[in-house]
This record gives sequence, C-alpha cells and structure tokens, in this order.
Amino acid sequence: MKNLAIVLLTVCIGFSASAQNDVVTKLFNNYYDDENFTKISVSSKMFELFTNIEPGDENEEEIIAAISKLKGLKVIAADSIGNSKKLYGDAVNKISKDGYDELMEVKDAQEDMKFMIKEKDGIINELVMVVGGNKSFFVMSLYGEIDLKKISKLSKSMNIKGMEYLKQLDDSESTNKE
Amino acid sequence: MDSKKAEALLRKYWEGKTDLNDEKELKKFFLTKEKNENLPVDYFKYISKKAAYNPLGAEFDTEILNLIQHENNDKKHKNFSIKYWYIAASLALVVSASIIFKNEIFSVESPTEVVEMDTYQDPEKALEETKKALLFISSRLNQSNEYAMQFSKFEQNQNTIKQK
Repeated sequence: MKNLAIVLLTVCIGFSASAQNDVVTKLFNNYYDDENFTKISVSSKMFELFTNIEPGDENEEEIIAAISKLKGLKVIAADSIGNSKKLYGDAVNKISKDGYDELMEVKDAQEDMKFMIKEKDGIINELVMVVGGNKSFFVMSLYGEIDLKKISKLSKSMNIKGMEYLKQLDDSESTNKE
Repeated sequence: MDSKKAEALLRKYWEGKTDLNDEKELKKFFLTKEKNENLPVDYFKYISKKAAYNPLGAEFDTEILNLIQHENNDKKHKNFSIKYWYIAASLALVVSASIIFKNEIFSVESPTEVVEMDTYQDPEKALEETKKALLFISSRLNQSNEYAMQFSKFEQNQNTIKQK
C-alpha cells in the first residue's frame, strides 16, 4: 500500500513537472490580459505562410531564409512599468529553472539582458531573450530550428539605424580606450 | 461394591487400565470409607474434592470461549475496517492525482491555445513584426558579442601590460 502511494505521488509530481514545460507560454499567459504589456504571438501556421511571400528585396530574402525553419515567436514587452527589474529577475529565475541553458548575459547601468536556449542534439530548439531595463521589460521567445549565426548576421547585413548608431558609439569608445 | 472388587479395580487403576466408570465407582467406594493406611482413601477423597472445586464457576469456560470468539470477531472487524481505510485512501489518492493531472493538462492546453492564436491575421503584417523581432534579437546578440569581444580585448591588453 505504501509503495502504491509512493508510485502515485511520483506520478503526480511527474505530471505536474512535465506540465510546466513551457515557461514562456505561462509567462505569456500571465500577462495576456494586462494592458501594460504588448503581446505578440506568431504561430507555426503563420511561419509556414511566410515562405509563400515573395521577398521584396535581398534583405527580405535573407530574413525569410533565416525564419524558414522557425516555428513560432512570442513577445511580451512593456516600456513603462515600475517593477521591471523584479519582473526580469522572476522571469530569468523561472526560465533557468525550467531547463534552459544560459547562452550569455549582459549587465550594464541601463539594463540587464540574458539569452537562454534549449538545445537538443546540437540543435537549438528555443531561444529566449529577457531584457530588464529601468522601466522596461521584455521577453522574446523563438521556436523551431534556430541558427544563431544566421540571426546575428541579419542585423549586420541590414542597415539598422539605432543599432548602427550604438555600434558606432561602441566602436569609437573601444578605439579610444585602445 | 465389595472390598475385593474394589481391590481389583484399584490395581487396575494404578496400572492405568480403568475407564471413567471404574474410576467413578472407585471414588464412590472410597468416599464412604474411613481413613485406612492400606487404602488410598485420602487420595480419592482429595481428587473428588478437587474435581468438585470450581471457583471459576461452571460458565467460566463458555464465557472465556465466547470472549475469545468475540475478540476474534473484533479483530476481523478491525482488519476489515483498516482494509477499508486503505482502499478509501488509495481511492482518494487516485482521485486527487487525476484532478491534478487534469488541471495541469488544462493549464497547459489553455496557453497552447494562446500560442496558436495569432496576434496578426495578415501574414504581411505578421512578417513585418517577426522581422522587427528578429532584427531586435539579432542586434542584441551582436551587442552582447561585442561586449564579449571588448572584454576579451581588455583581457588581452591587460595581459600584454602585465608582460611588459
């Protein structure tokens, strides 16, 4: 009888643990009705549709190639909330407890940023980025077969004003230091 | 019974060959006799007295047996009720397990519904937003990489300074 109870308990715990697999989905759901947060969700069906879109230019072609193996995207974003740092800490905590591996972390005066991945057999199946600024909070999750090189190449090859500006700033700073 | 017969019976008695009737007769015979050194009058008087002596009462055996019977029944009853409790407890466990299981399944199902719900119905617009998101991730990835590069450069520089 005791054994039966133990087995049942383990089964219960097992189910409750396995049921919490998708922590980002849970986070997404938590903020679903909160108007302070912008939520964007793109399903796998939509990603399938993207491959049918005729690319307008080279850049778009590159992007479509980069997302051809993706299966979903979820974004939670807020830019004027008070407890953003706490939300960041909670989210990072929850995500790292859920079997995600940390890819990298950047902390500076303005914001904390963390990339986490789920990997299987050398293929990244999920990439989660969490950003916590002074008043901003941002979680983005990408599903599917993720090629980090392709993704990081995107912004380099495309002309992104703000980021280019940042990049230039960083470059000049680093050259000054050197 | 005359004394000769009694003597024969007595011999038989000592040899352990008498039956219950013989013994009854022997007792009866000796109870009427006076104390006699040649005959075991006292002995027979003693055992008849002993047989009659029953301080627990005639009902004692039946009472004890009843009690034992009763206790056995109680034990059976107890065992039964313990078994019943085990069954009830395991049933409760199964029920609560299934409730937890069901709840968890539902709580997983509802978010997947959300996931499958597209924010944008128009693929062009969805692609536009996906682009933005990807570029954002891309630029942040590069930014972090650059930080890392800077640190490694910084470390290299530090090392060269130390070497000098």
